Amino acid sequence: MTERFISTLPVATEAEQFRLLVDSVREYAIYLLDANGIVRSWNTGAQRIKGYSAKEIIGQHFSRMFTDEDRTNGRPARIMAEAARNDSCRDEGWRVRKDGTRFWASVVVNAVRDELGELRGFTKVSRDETERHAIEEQVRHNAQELERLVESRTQQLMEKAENLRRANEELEQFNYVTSHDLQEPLRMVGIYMQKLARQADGKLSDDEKRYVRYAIEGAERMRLLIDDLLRYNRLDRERAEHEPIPSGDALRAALDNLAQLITENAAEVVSEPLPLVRANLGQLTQVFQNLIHNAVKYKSDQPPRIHIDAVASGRAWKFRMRDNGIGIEPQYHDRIFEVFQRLHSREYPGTGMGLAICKKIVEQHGGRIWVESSRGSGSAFHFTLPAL
Amino acid sequence: MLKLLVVDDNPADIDLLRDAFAELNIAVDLTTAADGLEALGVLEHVVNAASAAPAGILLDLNMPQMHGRDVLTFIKSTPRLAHIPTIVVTSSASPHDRRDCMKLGADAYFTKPGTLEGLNELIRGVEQVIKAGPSRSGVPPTPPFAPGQLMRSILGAWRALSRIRSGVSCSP
Repeated sequence: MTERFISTLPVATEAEQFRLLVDSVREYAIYLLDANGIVRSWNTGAQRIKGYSAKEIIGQHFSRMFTDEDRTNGRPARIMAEAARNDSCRDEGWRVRKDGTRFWASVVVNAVRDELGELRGFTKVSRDETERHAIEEQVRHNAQELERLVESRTQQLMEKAENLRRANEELEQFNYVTSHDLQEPLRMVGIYMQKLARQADGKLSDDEKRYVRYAIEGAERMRLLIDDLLRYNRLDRERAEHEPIPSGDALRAALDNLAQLITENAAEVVSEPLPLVRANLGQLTQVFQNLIHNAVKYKSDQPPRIHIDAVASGRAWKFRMRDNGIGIEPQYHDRIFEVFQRLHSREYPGTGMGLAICKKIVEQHGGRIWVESSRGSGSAFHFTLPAL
Repeated sequence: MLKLLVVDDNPADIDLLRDAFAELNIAVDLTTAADGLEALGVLEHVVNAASAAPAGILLDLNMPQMHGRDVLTFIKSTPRLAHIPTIVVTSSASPHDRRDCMKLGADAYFTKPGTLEGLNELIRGVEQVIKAGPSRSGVPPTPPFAPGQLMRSILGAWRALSRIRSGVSCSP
């Protein structure tokens, strides 16, 4: 193809044709060096890229086009030496135009030998890659910047997490110590009031007996509140082990603990077979216990009927506990899970912590708890736990 | 007559125990100590055979001078004391404290009750533990200190301390 193309041109020799071809290339600087590195030919591309005319540069040493720094560290000589040794050398780096500006060159230097293998010089083909280089530099810079940014953000986040952890720990410690220390004097008030009432029983008027009873009940109530608060705090302080357990075991343990309450209220608890879940047995028992306790406590005029089942839902099990109790109006469905929230007055004793504890336990297991109910139509408590 | 050592910094709690034993018709001879160091003073006499060993020790945890946990460690690592049933009676309901104490060789762990009924239950629990006989918690296989060494060291520190504090009585 080339041959035919060249042969159609109205020029004399093959060498001349080739020279013209090389000359006309604009994108590449193509020129010859002799064995000493002196420029011997110069094409259009070389002039365009480097700014020198053939007349200005031919006869000059090619190191003229290198930066001062590269000249000082001997880069031109190294390139020639490597091309002489390996017949070829590739290089990339800054070069200097005639006007002193720099461009990023991508260079191939090949050795030229005569028939005897003697080194006669070098061909040098280079291309101005300043734009590509700039883009690459920008990309590299951006990547570095990004990396630095990510690192600094990570560092910041880790510091924040550490501060948060420390603050949490202090808060938990504070909660724990205060509730614990509050318990002590309260125990004294309650128990000595009880002693007083017992010893003075015959001498007290009905009013006085009532006052003493109020005091004892008040102290007892506060004791229960603090107990529950402690239990709630302990859920944060002491992370429980989660392991594969039959959730039916937790239900059975809860029913054992509630045996008396269930008998007294003629309650009936029916459960479908329950699955294996990843959970803490003691904590899951607490969840069942609190929910069943509530179902019995908030019974309607019928004996409590509680039905428990579980269905697979994605990678979790969804437990459902339905009762025939008094039900809960929709506007309270969120509030009942908050700490110390009580919907009823003294007619239903309690601390208002039971469902908050359930919520915390379920959430620490990676699940969710909610209620579906309306006044007068029973309640259905749902919670999810991760499957195995 | 049941000879007991009660270690508690709250005299109101000691009164409650005394009354409860009386109410349940259990005859007791109570020696009391108001903190851990004072308890060690009492126990030193037992180790030296200067006084008879109590049938049981009721031990509070949070006390000034020396924590109940350290007293428990001392009891269970001293050969002449380790057999004495030692019952922790504390206001701490923390499972962590309970685990700790059981690991150190406590024979039982009771939370101080908030009602008179609870108090009677506690007394019956204490009676049961003591009736069960000598403690098997025993001395750990390799005690960290030679017998007597820990006691000498602690008592030395205590005496130095009581020279600084004025008006402290340390007789059992």
